[in-house]
Amino acid sequence: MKIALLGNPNTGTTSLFNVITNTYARIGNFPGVTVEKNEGTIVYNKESIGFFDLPGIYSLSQFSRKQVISRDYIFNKEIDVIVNVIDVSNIERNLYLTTQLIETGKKVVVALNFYDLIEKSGGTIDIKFFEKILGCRVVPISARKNKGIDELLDVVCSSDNELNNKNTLINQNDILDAVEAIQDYVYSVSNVKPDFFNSMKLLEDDKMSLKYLKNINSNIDTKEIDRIVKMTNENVENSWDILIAQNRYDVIENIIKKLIIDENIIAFEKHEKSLKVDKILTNRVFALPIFFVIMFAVFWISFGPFGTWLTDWVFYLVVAFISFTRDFLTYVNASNWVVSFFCDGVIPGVGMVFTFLPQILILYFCLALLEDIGYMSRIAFIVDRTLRFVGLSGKALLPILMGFGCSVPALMATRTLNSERDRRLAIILTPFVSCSARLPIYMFFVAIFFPNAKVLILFSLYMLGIIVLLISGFILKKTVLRDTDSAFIIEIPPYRLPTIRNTTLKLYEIAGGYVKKTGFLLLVASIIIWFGQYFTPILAVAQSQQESIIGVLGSFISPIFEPLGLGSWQISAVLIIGFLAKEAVVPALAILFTAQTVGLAFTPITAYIFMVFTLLYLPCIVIFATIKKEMGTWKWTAFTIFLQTLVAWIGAFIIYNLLNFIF
Amino acid sequence: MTRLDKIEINKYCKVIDIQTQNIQARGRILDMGITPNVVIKVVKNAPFGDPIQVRLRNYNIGIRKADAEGIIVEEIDY
Repeated sequence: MKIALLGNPNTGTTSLFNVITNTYARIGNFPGVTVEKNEGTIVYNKESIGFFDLPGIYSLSQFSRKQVISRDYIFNKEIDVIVNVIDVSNIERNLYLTTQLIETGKKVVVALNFYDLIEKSGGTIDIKFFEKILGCRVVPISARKNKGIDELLDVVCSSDNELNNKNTLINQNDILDAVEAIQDYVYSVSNVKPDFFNSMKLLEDDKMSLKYLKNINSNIDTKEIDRIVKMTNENVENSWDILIAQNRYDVIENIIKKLIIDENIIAFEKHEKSLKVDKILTNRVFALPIFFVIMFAVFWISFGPFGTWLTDWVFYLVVAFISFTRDFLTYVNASNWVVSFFCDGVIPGVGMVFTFLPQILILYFCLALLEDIGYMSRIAFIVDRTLRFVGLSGKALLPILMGFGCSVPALMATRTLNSERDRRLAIILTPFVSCSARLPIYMFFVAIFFPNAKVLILFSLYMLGIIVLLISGFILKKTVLRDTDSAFIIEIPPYRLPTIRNTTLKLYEIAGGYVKKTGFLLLVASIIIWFGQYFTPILAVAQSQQESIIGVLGSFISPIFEPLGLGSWQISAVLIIGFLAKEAVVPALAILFTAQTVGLAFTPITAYIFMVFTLLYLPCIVIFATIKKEMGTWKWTAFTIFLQTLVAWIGAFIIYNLLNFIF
Repeated sequence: MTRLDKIEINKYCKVIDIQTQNIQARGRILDMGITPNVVIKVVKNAPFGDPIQVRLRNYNIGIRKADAEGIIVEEIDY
């Protein structure tokens, strides 16, 4: 049996999923691989049940990526039951999705979440009456208090369908007649009566439904559909999409009146409290300063003494493990290349993934906490105007902030953006933000060339990343990715106390995804780098770095970097390595230069230029793979990589000449 | 009759019509419950005056002024 958990954002769908899959014996759980959905299988009453936690959505329309994913899931996968999670303190808007789910023809069970709030306020809801009106089973639950879960599972598993008797709650005859006209037409050409939901969606000019129905009945003529829609629309006073939405909400308002729910009281109390907090946090004057202070605190915790201390600790462990392995392999008389393969290639490469983990985890924990509290949607609200200047929306800020940890989860987080265009722009721009893997490279050079100006140099680089992001965004907005008027409408939920369990689970999911994704590809990258350094182009063991594959490639491409003052083969070799994995740059520098020769190969200016170029060009091979996955097409992937490299070169060139002019 | 983006802070208005042409924006507006006859309160605006926060159907949304332009409303006392 397959069950989809679906509800508005912030209704506790994921909490419910976690409670269910943690309480009952789990067969398998596959978190982290995707932001799109969680899957988990449990055994309940000897029956194996698969749960799919779908992304929170407001409706089944075609206007957001999440909605399209969920809708595709409902219609194209074998889902037996939809558990529709509803937040009782926000029933009115939540039921809008319910009215649509009922029309899909699937068995729907409504889970009334946060029901404890109703009980606490002394109210009740007549569940039997509610079920009768909706035509589906309704179960009061509280996911965070672990109440009503057994009852919910019993109802989900039971086979009684007597209540599933309504195909829609829409009660305006004009709409019903028009849907029937469409259904009759489709039946006349294909002998199959189409479902209510997709037939009605045709009235709203929905491309997904048209495609879906045409797939089933190839005889459907688009022109004929258009004619029916136009004809039926002539006799009513407004366009179909407005009338349908209005009728849904009218029906819902009636339901709420009949149920006499005290939701207003709960919602009002929460709203009043949030309003007071927002008097300060989203105050027109204080909002941005407060935002900067909070972000500074987050970054100080993540990358300041605490985060660095943790990172150092993991680093020592990795180094200790390498020397242990080296000793062990030497002791068992392993051949030179085996020792080198493990101790110079595989272990350092994979170990580095874990070195960055503490800082990334702390950063993402803070961001997840801010999101659970409800502050993230306020930030989106506050900074929207500013980000619009560079063609992005307030929602793009979260991926950008995540980019300071690692660009891989950041790029995946762009999926929350509404339009394809916004997503593309965010994917191109996010890698310009300085990720934590670049930090050791800066530290390496700062220690040698700028021991007295550490903070200044680091700050200038982080700021440069942001400035380049803004300028590139502005240029792209005016050229390749023109500003379309994609809507920015965002819910500002009441503040809520975060539950540590949900925040840590979210973190676990991201961390798991990070380790899995980056771990494997960086292993491959480390092996390639090791191979490129150990062998010559004719696969003999390289006697010097200059003879090695990477050395030869470095000599070949070094003229490109001549105008940046970085024209030596060693530097080009390091930049090639950096293209595969930024983690490998510092070790490569240590191999190619000694403490003395670094001082000869770089001047303070070229050292800074090297850092600038490192900051701006493609972070690593994993990002390359992620960009390909998120962009979908090779064309956009190639464009993104080319653009980032070009921007890096131009940026470094300008700063190089500027610095030479000044100093 | 006026437009939602013209309503002052702490004032209430009733939606008359949605004239937004862009289907994406129009669809989002309807999905979020901004339909004819619904009462909307303008709560506040963000730094730089845009977007605005409005309250309807017992919850709050932030909406850009550009997206609020197509929402035709009349101011009411509440």
